[in-house]
Amino acid sequence: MSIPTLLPVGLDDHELLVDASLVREVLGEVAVIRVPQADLDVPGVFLWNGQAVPLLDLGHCLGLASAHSRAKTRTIVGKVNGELVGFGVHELSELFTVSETEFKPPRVHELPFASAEVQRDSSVSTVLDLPKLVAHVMHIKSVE
Amino acid sequence: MHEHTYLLFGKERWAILQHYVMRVEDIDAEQSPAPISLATWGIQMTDVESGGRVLRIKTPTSQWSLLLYGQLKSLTVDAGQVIDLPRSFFGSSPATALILRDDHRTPTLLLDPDRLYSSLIAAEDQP
Repeated sequence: MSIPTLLPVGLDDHELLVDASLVREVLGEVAVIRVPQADLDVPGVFLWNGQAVPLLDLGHCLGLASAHSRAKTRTIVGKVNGELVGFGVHELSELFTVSETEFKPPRVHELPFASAEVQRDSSVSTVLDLPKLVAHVMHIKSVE
Repeated sequence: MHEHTYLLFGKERWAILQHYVMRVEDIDAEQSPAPISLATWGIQMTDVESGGRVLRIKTPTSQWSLLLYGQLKSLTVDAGQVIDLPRSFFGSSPATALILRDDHRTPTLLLDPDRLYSSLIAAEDQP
């Protein structure tokens, strides 16, 4: 059984944990090109390696209205469900590994697309089910 | 080299393939039906630079008129400078691709005229 490696990202006061195997690159703030009539979950694109990569509004996807209040200085580029996607965050921390037994069902934070929670020092962080979130944005009913 | 020419509008944020533009005319108050504007996209009058013009657009499936304000610009680029948007994320948008600029300006969004027509009509019909 492989030991999951997680990337902690900060969105306002929330620490979210992302499966590091999905991450392709971490960028700074990117220039977003707004796409007219796009869903609010994915309002635009940015250029990365000659491709137009959709930029998810993670705050909107998770219902965190306050996440819009300040600039997201880091952009995570990932490959999820076979598609390149990006999303901006406020902070990043060091990668870490956890054993499967450390994953607990989500109880402390009621966030959509949470697959588990992990105790980190004195706080509890939410493990984000990125494939499920991206499938939702793409209007896919299920993910294999 | 395979090149296409595009007509840029909206402060060069958007473009359509010039091939679909039959004519560019001054505003005719008597024109019926009235040309469709981009007002439903929330474009403010402060974005408007000068008097309006009407683009007569014709595609294999639609024929309509688009009312535009501000400068129009013609731009010819190589096909390699046009990057498709991932349709699985932007299926509801008339935008289909990014046109990269040689001058390193913000890329321009290429709009499909049939999708643009449908989205503007749908927006006008909303209360």
